[in-house]
Amino acid sequence: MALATSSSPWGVRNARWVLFFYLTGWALLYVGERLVGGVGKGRWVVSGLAVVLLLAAWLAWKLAWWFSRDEHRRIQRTIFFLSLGGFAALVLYVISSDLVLGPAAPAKPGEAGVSGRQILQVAWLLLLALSSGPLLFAQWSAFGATRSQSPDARRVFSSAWSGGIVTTLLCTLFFVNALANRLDVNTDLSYFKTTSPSASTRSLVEGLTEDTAALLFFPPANDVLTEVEGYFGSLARSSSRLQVKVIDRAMAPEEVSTYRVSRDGTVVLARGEQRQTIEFGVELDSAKTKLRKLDSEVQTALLKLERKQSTVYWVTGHGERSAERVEGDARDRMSLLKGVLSNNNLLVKPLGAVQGLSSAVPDDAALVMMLGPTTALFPGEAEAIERYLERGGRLLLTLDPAAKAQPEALLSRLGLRFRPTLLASDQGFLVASQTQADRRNIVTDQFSAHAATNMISRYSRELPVAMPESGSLEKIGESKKRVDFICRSLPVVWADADGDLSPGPDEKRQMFQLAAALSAPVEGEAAPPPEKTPPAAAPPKREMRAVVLANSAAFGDTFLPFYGNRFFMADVLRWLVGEGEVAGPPANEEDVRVQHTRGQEIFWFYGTVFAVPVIILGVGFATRFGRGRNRRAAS
Amino acid sequence: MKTIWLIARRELLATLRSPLGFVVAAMVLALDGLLFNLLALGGGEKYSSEVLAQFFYTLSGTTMVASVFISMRLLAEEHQTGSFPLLLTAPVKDGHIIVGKFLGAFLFLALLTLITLYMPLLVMVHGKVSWGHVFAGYLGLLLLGAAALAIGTFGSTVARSQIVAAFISGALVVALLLFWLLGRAADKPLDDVFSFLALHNMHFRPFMAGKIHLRDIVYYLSVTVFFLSAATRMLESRRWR
Repeated sequence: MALATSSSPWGVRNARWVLFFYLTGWALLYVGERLVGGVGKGRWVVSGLAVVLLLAAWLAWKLAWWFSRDEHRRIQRTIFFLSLGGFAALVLYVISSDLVLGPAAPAKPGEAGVSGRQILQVAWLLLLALSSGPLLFAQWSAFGATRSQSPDARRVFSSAWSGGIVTTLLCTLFFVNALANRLDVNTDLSYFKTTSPSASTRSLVEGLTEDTAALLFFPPANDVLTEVEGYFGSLARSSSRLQVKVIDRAMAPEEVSTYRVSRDGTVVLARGEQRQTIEFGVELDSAKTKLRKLDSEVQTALLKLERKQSTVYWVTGHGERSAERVEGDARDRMSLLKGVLSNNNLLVKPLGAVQGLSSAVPDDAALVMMLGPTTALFPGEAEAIERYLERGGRLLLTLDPAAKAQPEALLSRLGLRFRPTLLASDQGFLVASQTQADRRNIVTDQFSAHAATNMISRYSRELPVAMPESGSLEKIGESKKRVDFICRSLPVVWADADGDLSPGPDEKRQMFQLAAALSAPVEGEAAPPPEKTPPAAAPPKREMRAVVLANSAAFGDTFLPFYGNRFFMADVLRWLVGEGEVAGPPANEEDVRVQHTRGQEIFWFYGTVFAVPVIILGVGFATRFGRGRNRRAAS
Repeated sequence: MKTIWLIARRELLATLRSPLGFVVAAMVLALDGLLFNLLALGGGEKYSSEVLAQFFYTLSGTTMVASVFISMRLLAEEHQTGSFPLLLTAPVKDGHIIVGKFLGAFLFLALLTLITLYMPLLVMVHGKVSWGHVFAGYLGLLLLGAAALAIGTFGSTVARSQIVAAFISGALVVALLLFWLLGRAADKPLDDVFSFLALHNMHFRPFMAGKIHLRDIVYYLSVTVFFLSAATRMLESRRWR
């Protein structure tokens, strides 16, 4: 085979093969060095073959340059010189490899800086990339040029130039990306916000009866301190009784010892000898969870400092709902309710037959709660509760329509009857399981003006309350107690007697009573003022009070996170325990579940899937036809 | 700059006036709405941030698909209508043509993406939405859209037919998307390189969660710049091919 003809030597006619050798050579070198590697024979065979192929390619390009003439010669010379970059890269690779420099020592922990080997490793890669790009582009252009009888070398130069630009850009972008990756500059805009002081916490601070200090034990210039200091600074403006002081733990050993602070990132609320401690830590990422409910934490701490602890009795032993998971009871737990009570410095204790409920309710009871009993009360228990109420006791009774037995005796003493037929609605209900059963999750915004619905009655339009799996209440006979129905269902609700979740001919849509507030003066006490006044006027102390709910799930863990339900619960507890004893809901920046009613779901679906696209189409067609008409009119 | 803006404006108006523009917009919005209801909101109760993250996830898919369809006509249409020689003989630099056309398409895509803002607003009505999270999500969508559009612009430069352009662009986008799988399969150091090169997995997920990393911004801008540069070289290559 002749190496050269007049204008088309072997290297030119078989340029594709030469390029194939070149690329295969580099690929084999990668396989030999990276995948096979080590000191075995395999590496030498594969890498050796790679070097042979690369040298063969260079030789072919060199010969093609030597034996070609005229414009072909200029083209082949360009290609050969471009390929020299690859040759230099190969030499640099060999120098940087273990063949010359020996095996790389493992990096020592904490060692920084760049070694000469690393510089060489980057340099050979860079050189290979910067030479291969123009080479490939030039060769691509040369394929066409060599077929021509009068090739134009300028095309190949232009092509190589383009290749050079693309490769240089690629290398630059790689370096910029590597740098950005190494810098790791980032910002977290996900749901995070330190709470601001809520109205209820501000109100607590305004009502402080003694000087209280908020001591922030943080190192200087700390991110968590910035968040916490902003909150307390805002809170301190509510009352001069609250003083805020930032203390660097390292500089104030005396205060550290006095307040027993063991770590940075601690907030101590101190009042006289009393202390309440909240720990945040100094790392913002780990403190975020606590910062989101900072207001709730501070409110709890302030309540513990400010108020004497009262006791709430949680009646047990009749299948009541519990704060903990109970085996065999699939009903919603009430841990959130218990949490609210604890946060408000109310001590929750069980009260059942073991604790002597059959004989009497303890004297220290600020409130008795009976949440969803499923079996009848034991003999004497209803009487004990009634005696407790008669001496000015407070009772929260929530009923479960699915219960086998209801506390009928207690209800009749209160002057109420419970109808356990489940209420349902096909309009105002919450979607939870995406089934027909959701119709039982009725919602309402119907609250009467009463001290037990002080806030929710004002905001119910914006904060509807979920009343899932609810029965209804009725007043029976004449009672000495004042009975106010404080919450009703929407008028679209029916009592679903046949359980088919559809309104039958005998299932009339109407309003049902969902909650009742009962009150009566203690014998010998003056009658209370009418309840339809706001609670600004303090309620009389010696008065029995009870709230009866026709469902229990409204205060359960699933539905209590609803703003409406939280406000309703806070209102009820405040009325029962006392205005000053239960603070309003704290500000909370924790994420909430997306809740919507069936009607809203339908609106969302049709709005997003059909309405907006149709509007876009309509605007598009209107614009198009309008323009066409204008054009026709103009012509 | 003036030339680029002129081309971009012409391109944007042409898209907005053509039936393709608003039909694609309506279809993409309908698809976004459907996916929002089925995937983001569906499947039981979710926290607002979860809904939002899922919304951005689904929107990233439709944005990439829309980018391919919007960009397929940029240069390939000029070939099909026979106006390509006119374009090339105009006293405009190749780079200006590419950037101008890309910018026009990007403005349309940005408009299309920002119209979907009513969906996070709906989440806000019945949940809690951080505006920072929304901003991060849309920033990610715009960057991802720009990168996909740049790939599409390159595809449109390579092919003479719009269908082939869409096919090439789609193949490139899918290849870049699947790099994360290669990253899982490859050994060091290539696994890191492949994972980093993946168009979606490593770089878009932080945006979905409301986190902005300089690394991800630089990556998307790099992909955009590289493919626009490659498209410019491709246009120039008619001189030396």
